[in-house]
Amino acid sequence: MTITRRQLLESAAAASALAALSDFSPLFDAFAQSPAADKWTKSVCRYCGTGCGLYVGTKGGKVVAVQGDKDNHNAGFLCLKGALLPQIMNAPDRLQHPLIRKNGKLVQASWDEAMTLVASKFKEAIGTHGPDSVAFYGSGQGLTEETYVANKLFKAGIGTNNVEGNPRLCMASAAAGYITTFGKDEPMGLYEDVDYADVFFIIGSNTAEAHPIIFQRVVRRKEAKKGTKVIVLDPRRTPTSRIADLHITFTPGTDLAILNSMAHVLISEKMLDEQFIKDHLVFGEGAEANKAWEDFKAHVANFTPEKAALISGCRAEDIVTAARWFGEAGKNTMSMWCMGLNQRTKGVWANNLVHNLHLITGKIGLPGSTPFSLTGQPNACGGVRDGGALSHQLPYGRLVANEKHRAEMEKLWNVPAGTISARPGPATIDMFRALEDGKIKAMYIMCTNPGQSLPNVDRYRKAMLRTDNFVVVAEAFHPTRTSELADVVLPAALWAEKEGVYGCAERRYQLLDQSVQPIGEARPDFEILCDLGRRLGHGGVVNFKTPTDIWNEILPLTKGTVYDFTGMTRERLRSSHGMLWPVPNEKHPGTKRRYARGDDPLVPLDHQTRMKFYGRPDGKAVVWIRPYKPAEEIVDTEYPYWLTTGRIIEHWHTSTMTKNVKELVQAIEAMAEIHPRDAEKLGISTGDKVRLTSRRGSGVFRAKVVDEKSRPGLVFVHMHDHNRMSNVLTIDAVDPVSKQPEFKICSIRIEKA
Amino acid sequence: MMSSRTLAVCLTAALLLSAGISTGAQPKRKSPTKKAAEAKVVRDTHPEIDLTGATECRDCHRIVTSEIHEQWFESKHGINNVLCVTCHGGFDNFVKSPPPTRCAACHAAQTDSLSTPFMKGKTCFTCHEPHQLIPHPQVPKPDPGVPENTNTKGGAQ
Repeated sequence: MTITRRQLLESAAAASALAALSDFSPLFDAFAQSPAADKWTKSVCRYCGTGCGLYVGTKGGKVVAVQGDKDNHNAGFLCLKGALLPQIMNAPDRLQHPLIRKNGKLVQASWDEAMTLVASKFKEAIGTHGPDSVAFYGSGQGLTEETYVANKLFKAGIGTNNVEGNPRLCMASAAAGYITTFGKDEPMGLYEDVDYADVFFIIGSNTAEAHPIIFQRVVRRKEAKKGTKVIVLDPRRTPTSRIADLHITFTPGTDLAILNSMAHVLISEKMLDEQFIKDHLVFGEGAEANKAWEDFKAHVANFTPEKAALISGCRAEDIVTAARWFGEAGKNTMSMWCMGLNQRTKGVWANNLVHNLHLITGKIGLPGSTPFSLTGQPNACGGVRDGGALSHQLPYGRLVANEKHRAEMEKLWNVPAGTISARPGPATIDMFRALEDGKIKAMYIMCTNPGQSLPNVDRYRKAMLRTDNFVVVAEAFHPTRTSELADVVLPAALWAEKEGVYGCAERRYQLLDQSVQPIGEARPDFEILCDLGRRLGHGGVVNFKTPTDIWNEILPLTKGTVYDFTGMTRERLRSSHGMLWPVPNEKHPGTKRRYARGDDPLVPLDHQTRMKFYGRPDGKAVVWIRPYKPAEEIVDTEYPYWLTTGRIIEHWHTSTMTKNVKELVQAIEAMAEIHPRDAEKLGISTGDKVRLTSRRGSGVFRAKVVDEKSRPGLVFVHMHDHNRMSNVLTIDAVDPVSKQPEFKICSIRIEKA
Repeated sequence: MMSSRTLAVCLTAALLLSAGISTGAQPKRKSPTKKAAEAKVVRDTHPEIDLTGATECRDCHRIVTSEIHEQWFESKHGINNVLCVTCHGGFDNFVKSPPPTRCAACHAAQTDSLSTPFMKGKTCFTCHEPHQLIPHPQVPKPDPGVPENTNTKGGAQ
């Protein structure tokens, strides 16, 4: 939707009046945002999974400004990254032409030369070693249509399930947590629940920096409703803790004991919803729902607050307080978590344990009561999780391993029976190990940066550098820490240069309309993929001319699934400010709370109980018995400090975009954040160089001595810095169910450098 | 027009800075050099400070302009981490007093209103103390309470 809603001539007049004041006169040139946009196009922020609506202001074919969409969930607000988006579009490191590696150097090439080479290498690998010798690695940054084309080309065209992406590193445990507990992926609540919550249980999330606009909504709620409680569980002291009424720090990885202990307190103090338990819940251990309520009670009876406090190094009374606030009758409780729970070798269990608390107290499916997973990437939910673009999935809740699902997709995709391989592909870490082993000969990496974002990254950088394999990177920027390793780099259109759908953390799908032409020779990713498909002889499978063609093909795939958004037509997306699925017909307004009778169109209005967890055949949710197990790697005498990684507000992911913003680049340096007590012991002051060494790698960082209230023994390094990569240190051990790596916890030693 | 308070605050900051106050292990003082003279805005503002290795304005400003920092920290911008750079720019495009265009990404309705005749010649900071930026008083909204859990037509748009 393009509008000329703001005639900013008057503002410009005001601006020149200001400029007449000597104090202001030199200022205007210093600003990237000109007030004089002449066209405004509705879109969505490019960065995190919050999915803030905004308008892109253009002038003379350039993006010159953005303004928050006041009719969207973000009420017109943007975080500082979003507000500064225009600067990324014409950054000096935007890639404008294809590049091919010749004699070890990446040199400019024509599109035809580059695509001919890519197609010949893929054909050669498939012809000699079979379809499983090629792979696709995408991300939750790609548009839904783009990810869909890649998924279809590889699974229904080439015939391999070697399709993975950054969501495996980001939220696979959250997805598996929802699936194991509720039968189907994705949250049942929405951002609006923040406005009704009395208690916020924030665990493993620095919401203030990673999801600032959601944090702002929590702040607003706390200001509006006296007595609102915020509980933060995080070993670090972050800006999120500033609004906490209770901040519990603990030994990294021991939150499983704390969560089990909270269930113990809720049971022993009878803060339960017995009717909800009777109506809606079953109990399980391992992978089977074969236990009873009594078994669960017996299990958590082992986790007295005193015992959990001993394991986790926090105070028993804090666990009791957290549980009492969480469970207080008549109060709404909303949990929010992110990578702190997901990037763990016990990430799925940690997710299950949070769901347990909501289920036994019945604090779910009501306004303000919900277990809500926050999302890192703008379209991880919409494009990859929902679209089924991981190696074990097919679109919209279907699974590769399920013969019926494969047959259904083959029919919908109009390809011969047996086209889709019955063999699930390897998950991300195993996929890069297959590249390392030489089993994967050619890999297509789109819109992400594994050369910086993988754990134990140096190992996989070597795999990408192998001269006997072929790595293609489709990217808007060059060099990145991945494109520098590539054999071919293809210039991709960026954000406002293309059109497509993003689906954010709350099941809200939104259309990003195109506002400007792609820079140089850059092309939208879907076009590049369709071109590759044609060259590989699969033109019929990916015969798309526009993103709308793709969207129209996607809609019917959701019919009969729990995602059903067949009513979410392109026109409705264009005229709305996002819609929340399910949207089963064109009259349907969208669904606020899933599984809730009266809200969710998939729950019959005459259903006997207030919720129906229809993701499972029995319509019930599972409360899981999950033991406490520590992190994969724990501190010892050789590596006596915990390392955790994460984000800061100024940057996003691997900073390929944000490091191009003048206001943000100064914060790019990853520093080793150390507790004052440890700093004193080691004789380190802020600014000193320190060498951090793990079992996998080593790097030199400047030290920053942080708040006393953080956890002693814990070092934090952010993940954004492309020159000082925290991931040379991190561990590539994965959760056995979700296959998500444990970025959040490993052990290191510190030396003065 | 800049309020007298703003001016006073800026002057205080300038005095403190020109006095070369530097703290902790943050950016070290150095004598002005040719390099500094060639550099851009912040480097011109702070010729006495070596910004190499500096990452955040507030690392120093929480000390050298503690009053301003405190006002910001306690404001809506402070609690929501609308950092110094959001309004003032970074080391390479610093400005002392942000023009209203700088506010428009989040406060478009307010900056648009500056073009009305009543607001002629005014900026955001004519009325709002910079850094505190107390919002316009609003009609208090009733507490949403707990609504019915039957949203058949509420819509999710």
